[in-house]
Amino acid sequence: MLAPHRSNPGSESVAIVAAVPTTHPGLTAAPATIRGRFQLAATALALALLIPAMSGWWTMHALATRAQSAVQKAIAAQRLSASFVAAAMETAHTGQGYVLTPSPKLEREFHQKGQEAHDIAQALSHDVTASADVVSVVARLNQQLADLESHLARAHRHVDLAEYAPARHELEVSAPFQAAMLRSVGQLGNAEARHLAAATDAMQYATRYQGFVFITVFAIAAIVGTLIARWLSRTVARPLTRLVAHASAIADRKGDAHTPVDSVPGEFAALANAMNEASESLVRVASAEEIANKNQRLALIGRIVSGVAHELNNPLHTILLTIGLLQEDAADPVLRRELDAMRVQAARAREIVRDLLAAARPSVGLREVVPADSIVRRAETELTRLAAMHKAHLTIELPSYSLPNIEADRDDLTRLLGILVSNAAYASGAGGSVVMRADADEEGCCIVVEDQGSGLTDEVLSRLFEPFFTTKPVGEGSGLGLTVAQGIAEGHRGAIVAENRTDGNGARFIVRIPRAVPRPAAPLKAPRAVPAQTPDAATALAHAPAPEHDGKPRALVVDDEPSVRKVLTRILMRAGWRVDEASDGAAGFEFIDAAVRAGDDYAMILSDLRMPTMSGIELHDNLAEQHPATLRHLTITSGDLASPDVAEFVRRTSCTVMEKPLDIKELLRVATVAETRQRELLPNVTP
Amino acid sequence: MSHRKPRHARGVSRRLCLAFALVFGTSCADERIPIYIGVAGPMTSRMLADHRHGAELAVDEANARGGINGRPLAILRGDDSGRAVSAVTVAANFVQDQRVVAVAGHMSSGAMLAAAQLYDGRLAAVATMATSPELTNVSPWVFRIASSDAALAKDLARFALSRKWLRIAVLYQNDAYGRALSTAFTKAFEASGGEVVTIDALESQQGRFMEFGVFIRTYFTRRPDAIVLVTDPLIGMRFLRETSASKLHIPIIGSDGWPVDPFAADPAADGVYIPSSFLDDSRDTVASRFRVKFKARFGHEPDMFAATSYDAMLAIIAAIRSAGTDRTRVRDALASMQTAPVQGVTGPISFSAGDRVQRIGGLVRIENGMGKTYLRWKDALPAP
Repeated sequence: MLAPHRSNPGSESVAIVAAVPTTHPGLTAAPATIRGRFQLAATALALALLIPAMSGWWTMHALATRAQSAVQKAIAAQRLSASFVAAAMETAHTGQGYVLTPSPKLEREFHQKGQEAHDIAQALSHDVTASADVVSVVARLNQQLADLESHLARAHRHVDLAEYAPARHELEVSAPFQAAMLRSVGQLGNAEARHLAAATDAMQYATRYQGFVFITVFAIAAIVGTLIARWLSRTVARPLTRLVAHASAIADRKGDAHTPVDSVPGEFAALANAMNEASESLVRVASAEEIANKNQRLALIGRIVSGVAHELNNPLHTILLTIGLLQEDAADPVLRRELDAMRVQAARAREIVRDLLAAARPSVGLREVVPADSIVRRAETELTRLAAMHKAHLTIELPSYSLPNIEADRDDLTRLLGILVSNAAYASGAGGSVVMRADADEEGCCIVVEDQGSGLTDEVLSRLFEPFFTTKPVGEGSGLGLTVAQGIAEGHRGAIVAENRTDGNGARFIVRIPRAVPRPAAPLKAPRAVPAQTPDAATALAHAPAPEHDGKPRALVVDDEPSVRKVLTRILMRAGWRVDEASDGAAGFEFIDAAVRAGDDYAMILSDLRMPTMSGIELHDNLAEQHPATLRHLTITSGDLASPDVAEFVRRTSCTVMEKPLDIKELLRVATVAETRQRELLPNVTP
Repeated sequence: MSHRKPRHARGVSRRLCLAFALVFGTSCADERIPIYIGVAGPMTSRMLADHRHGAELAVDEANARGGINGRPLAILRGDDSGRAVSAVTVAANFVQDQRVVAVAGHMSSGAMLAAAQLYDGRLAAVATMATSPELTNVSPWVFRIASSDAALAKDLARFALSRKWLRIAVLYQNDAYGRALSTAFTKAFEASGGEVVTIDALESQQGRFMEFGVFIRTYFTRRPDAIVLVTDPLIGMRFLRETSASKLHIPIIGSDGWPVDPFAADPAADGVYIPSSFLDDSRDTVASRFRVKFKARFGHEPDMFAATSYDAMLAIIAAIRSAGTDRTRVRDALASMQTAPVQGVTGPISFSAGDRVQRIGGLVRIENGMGKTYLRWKDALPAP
C-alpha cells in the first residue's frame, strides 16, 4: 500500500511534481472546465487582436480626418483671405470713380463692395481655427480698408460740394492707407505660410503621437496574448502533460506515480484523483501478488522441509540410539571417540531437522503471560554466553519500568534472541560489541539488537529471512537462523524488521511483539519437555534399578518402524526392563489391555505418534477411556511437535510428549523417572 | 411668530448634516454646493460695469429667496474684454468647467459669434447686448436678450415712415456694428419705399480728430427728412453737438448702444431718438421694481446693459429651476420658454432661433435736455 505523500527519490512522480509549479492563486477564479478556459482564452485573444485592429483603424481614421480638416481649413482660410484681398482691392479701385463722380449708383456700389470685404473679414475674425497671425493681419487690413473708405467718403462729399482742395487733401491722406493695405496683403501671405507650416508640424507631431499610441496598444495586445498563452499552458497544457506522464507510468505498471490533486486545476483534479486511485490499486495488486507468491513459495518450502524432516527423524532416531548403545558396548577408547564423533554429527543433523521444522511451521507451543523484560533478564546469561562465543561483548539495556506483558513461549523467545545476538556478535567480530535494548512501544514491546558490522546490502536485506540464505562461509551457518527467528516472531503475532543503522555503523534488528490480550481462562501449564539438564548416561545407567527378572519393570514400545522398536527394546532391556513391542496403536492397546487384566502394568509405555491403524493420540484417547490409570505411564514421542494436531494434543492432556530423535541419555532418564514412579506407586497397588 | 430653532440646535443639526454627508454621500451635501452660472463680458471697463451688476443682482435676489431647491447660486466671471479671441478662451474654460450650468453673456456681437462655436452642443449661453443679425440661428445653444439689428432696423424704418420721413441720410461708424445696422436699415427702409439719400462711413475708431463738417454741409444741401446715426455714444454726442452748433434742424435717430441718461442731460441731444431694449418708465412694474432695487444697490439708475444681463440671468435661473442642473435640460428649458415666457425687465423673455420672440423696448426721445419720452414700439408704430 502506497501512502499518498510517499516520495521515492528519482521516481517519476517526484520528477513531475518538481517540474510543474502549483496553480497560480490569482487564477482560482478561472472557469472550472477546460472548455470554459478555452472559450475565455479565445475571447481574450479575439479582444487582444480586435483592440490593436480598432486602434490601428482609429489611428488611421484620426490622422486622415485631421489631415483632411487641416487641409480644408487651410484652403477655406486661404480662400477667405484671398477673396477678402480681392474685395478690398476692388473697393479701393471702385473708390476712385466714387470720389470723382457724384452718382448715387457709384455711391451705392462703392458702399456694397466695402460691405462685402468687411463681411469676409468679419467671417475670418470669427474663425477660431484661423491662426492668430492671420486674424490680426486681416483685422489690420479691415481697419485700413475702413479708414480708406472713410477718407474716400469724405473726399466724395467734398467733390460733391465742389470743395476740391479738401477733396484732394483727403485723397492724399488716403494714399498711405492703400500702400499699407498692399503691405498687409504681403504679410497675410506670410502669415498663411506660417499657419500652414504650423499645421504641417502639428500633423507631424500627431502622426508620431498616434504611431506611439498604436505601437503601445499593439505591445499591450502582444503582452496580453503572451499572458493568455502562458495561462493556457499553465491551466491546460501542463496539467495534461503531467497526467499523460502519470498515465504512461500506469501503463508501465509503475505504481509510484502520483499527481497531487490540488496541483492541477478544474476538471484535471478529478482526472488526477482517478489516476491516483488507479496507481494505488496497481500498487495494492502488485504487493498482494508479491505476498501471495512469497507465501506460496514459503508454503511449498515448508511442506517439503516438513516432509523431509519428518522422514529423516526416524533414521536419525535409530542412529542416535544405536550409537548410544554401541558406545556403551565399546571398550576400545579409539572406537568410543569415533562413535562420539558420529554422535555429535548425528546430533547436529537432528538440530538441523528441528530448525527446519521450526522454520517451516510457526511454533504454537504453550504460552505464558509475562513481562517482556523478564524474558530478556532470564535469558541474559545465555545471551551473554552466545556473544562471548564470538568474542563480542553484549550490553543489555532495559528500562527502569516494567515492560508490557506479552503472551510468550519463553524458550522460543530466548531462542529468537539467541539467534539475533549470535548473528550480531558474528557480524561485530572479535572485540566488537552488541547492544540489545528493550522498550515499550504502541503495540507492545520492541527489542532492538544492534551490531557493529559492515551493515546489510540491499540484496541481503531482501533475502535475509529466506531459508538456507547465509552470508557465512560454508559449514558455519545453516541459513536457517533468521528463518526460525521470523517463524518464532510470527508465532507470537509479532514481526522482525532488519535495517541498517542510520549512523552507518552496522545493522539493526527490531523485534516487535504485541502486548498480551487478556483471556478469560488462564493458560494451561503442562510439562512439555523434561528439563534440559540430564544426568550423564553412565550415571543414569548406574542409578538404573538392578534388573531382576521378577521385579523387572515392564515397558511397552509402540512404533511402526521396526528399526526404532528394535533399538529401543535393546536399550531398555539392557537397562533392565522387560520390553514388549507393538507395531501400531491397536496392537499396543491389546498389550496394555492384557497387561491390565493380568495385573502386571507397564511402568512405561513409549509410543510413537504417527502410526498406521491407530495413532499415538488415538491410543492415548482409548486408554483414557478404558484404562485411565495407565495414562500416567504413557510417553508419546514425535518428530513433529510443532504440527497443529500435536500442539492441540499437548494443550488438552497432561501426557508427556518427547521430541524425536531422542538420544540414549534422554531415553534412559525417562526410563528412570518411570521406574521411580512405578516403585512409588507399587505399595499402593500391591500392599 | 415663527418658531425658530435656538442657535446651538441649528449648529448641531448642521454638524449632523455634515456627518451624514460624509457617511452617505451627496444627498445632504448637494444642498450646500452652489449652482454655478458663468457671466461673460467685459469685466474691467468701468463704463460697462453695469453689465456685470445686472447679473449679480438677479443672482442675489434668487439667493435671497432661498436659491434653487435649497442650493445657492454662484457666479463665475469670464472676462472677454469684448473681443472675439478672449471670448473663445472664456467659452472654452466655461465648457470645460463641469460646475458651470449655463452662461449669461457674452455682451458684444463679435465675442458672442466667436464663442458660439464652442458653446454649440455643450453649454447654453444667453447673450445680452449682442445685436448682430449673424447671431440669429448661429447655434441652438445660443440665445440673446437684445433684439437683432435686423429687427431693430425694420422697426426704425417703419418708425421713420410712420413719421413721414421718406428721405433719410445714413451716417455710420465703419465697424462691424455700424455696417451691419446701417446696411440692414437701408435695405428695410428702401424696401418699404423710402429713399436713402446718402450713406457715408465714418472712421471705425475715433483715434484722431474726427471732422463732421463735410457731412453736415451735405445734409444742408440734400435736406434729408431725418438722419440715422449708427455710432458709438461718444462719436454720436460729438456729432450732435456739431449739428446743434450749425443749427441743422433735422430729426436724428441715434443708436441702440447709447446710454440714455448722459444724452438726456445734454441740450445738444434735444429731439434725438435713442432706440433701447430697456425702457425704464414707471408704467412697467417689473422694470420699475428692478430700477428701484438697482439704484438702491449700486447708487444709479440701471441702463440697458444692466437690464439685459439681469434678464439673461433671470432666464437662466428660471430654466434651472424647471429643468435642474443638467446642461442639456437647461438648454431645452431655455428653448421652450416660447410657450411660457419669463417676465423680464425688458419684457417677456422667450426665444425663437435664439432671438427674442416679442418686440422689446422702443425709442427714447430726449426732450429739451430736460427729460425723456418713452415710445414703446407697440405704441410708436402702426399696427402691421
